[in-house]
Amino acid sequence: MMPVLFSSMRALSFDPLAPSAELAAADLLERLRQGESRALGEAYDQHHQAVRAFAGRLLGDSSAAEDLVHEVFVALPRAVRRFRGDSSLRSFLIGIAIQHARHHVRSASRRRAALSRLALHPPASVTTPEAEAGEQHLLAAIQRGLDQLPLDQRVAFVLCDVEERSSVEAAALVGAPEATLRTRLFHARNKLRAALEREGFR
Amino acid sequence: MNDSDVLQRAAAALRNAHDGQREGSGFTRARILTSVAQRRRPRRARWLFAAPFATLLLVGSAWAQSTGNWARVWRAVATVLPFVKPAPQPVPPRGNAAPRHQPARAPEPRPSEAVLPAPPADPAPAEPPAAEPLPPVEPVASPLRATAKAPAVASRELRKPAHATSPPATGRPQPPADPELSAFRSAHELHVQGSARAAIEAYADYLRAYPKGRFVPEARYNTALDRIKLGETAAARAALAPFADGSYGGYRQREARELLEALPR
Repeated sequence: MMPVLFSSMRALSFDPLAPSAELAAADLLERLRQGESRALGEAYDQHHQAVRAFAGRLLGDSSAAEDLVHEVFVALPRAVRRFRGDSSLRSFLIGIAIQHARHHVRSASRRRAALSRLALHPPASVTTPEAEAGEQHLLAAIQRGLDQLPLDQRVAFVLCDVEERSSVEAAALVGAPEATLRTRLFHARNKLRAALEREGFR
Repeated sequence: MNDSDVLQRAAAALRNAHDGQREGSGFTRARILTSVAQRRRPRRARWLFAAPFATLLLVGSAWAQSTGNWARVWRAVATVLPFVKPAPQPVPPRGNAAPRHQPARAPEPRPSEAVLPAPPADPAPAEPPAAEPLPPVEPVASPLRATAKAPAVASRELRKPAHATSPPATGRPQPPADPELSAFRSAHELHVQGSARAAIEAYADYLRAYPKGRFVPEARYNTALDRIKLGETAAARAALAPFADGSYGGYRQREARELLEALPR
């Protein structure tokens, strides 16, 4: 799936960079390919926030997201040898996160289900105003709804609706045709809408 | 508030809940760098360990090939590692003159030869017993075939029974597919076990059945050894003579000569 992902990233510029920044990025890539550990640290410093944000949104669990971030950056030195520079390094890292997300999603969902069965799920901050409390409930509901989705649909929803990426960009990231991604997104929205309705959100 | 509003609000809530900020990001950074360094270390160590061995192997192979010791080295490896097939023996040059490397190519002396009994004190009867005549020595059409191929094949094939005598792990002996090999092997096992009389008979059976077989020189030579064990010196001398005068090329020529000198006349 990775070669498809990389080839479909061609001609995409998710993260427009200035020429000097482009040179710096190319230099960073070269050093990463050579296995320089300082380069890995630099890559982490530049992109960890974006990767962590995506991982958190996809998994709905901060510690699982941290594990996924760790896995992505540990896999980077080897994966970067196959990277042809068709997209930004950040997009490439998100692509790696999608590849590695499957078992993290499963374990995070299981943990969440177990906690909610035991009623140990951390409650919304009750000290906040009522509106914020309502949003926390909505957040918990959407996470439960996401847990019911297949991974492909979950990724499509997070990329398009949560991270607000275009369908072209999201399709390139997941390595699927745009039409396929739109179909996944359509089903994800329908299922989530139904799940939210069941939870009383209208 | 309609459905899409709810979804949009939910998506926004998810977006705001995870903005990528985390206090422990420095710790994760250190963990990543440590993991990558640990992953690299064994690879480097593997290279450091493997490179001298690879160099040694290359140099050793080149040396063995250039000095002509390749077959001997390979045989030594094959004895240590049972899954390594023995290397084919090099073909000696034609002619009866003993080639330069001939002694090195002769099969290793087997345990049965190493414990050869001393010739008996009382001389054997002058004539071999008529009941067990040796099969007539076939004129070897091509000494080359007899000298080079037969010992090589014999040593190669005989390595199999050495493994077969120890019971395999499965406890299921493999039936020999080659009847000639089977006949020779049964005779050879008797020879190795020290049943000289039975071995002579079995070798004679083999020679009758396969007068131009692959193991004829080996069978004749071992027959001679068994006759020495039985004290049938004259018959042994007769059997060893073709080897000593080079009828089989260099195969067992030196050993045959030494035995003939040692045997009482």
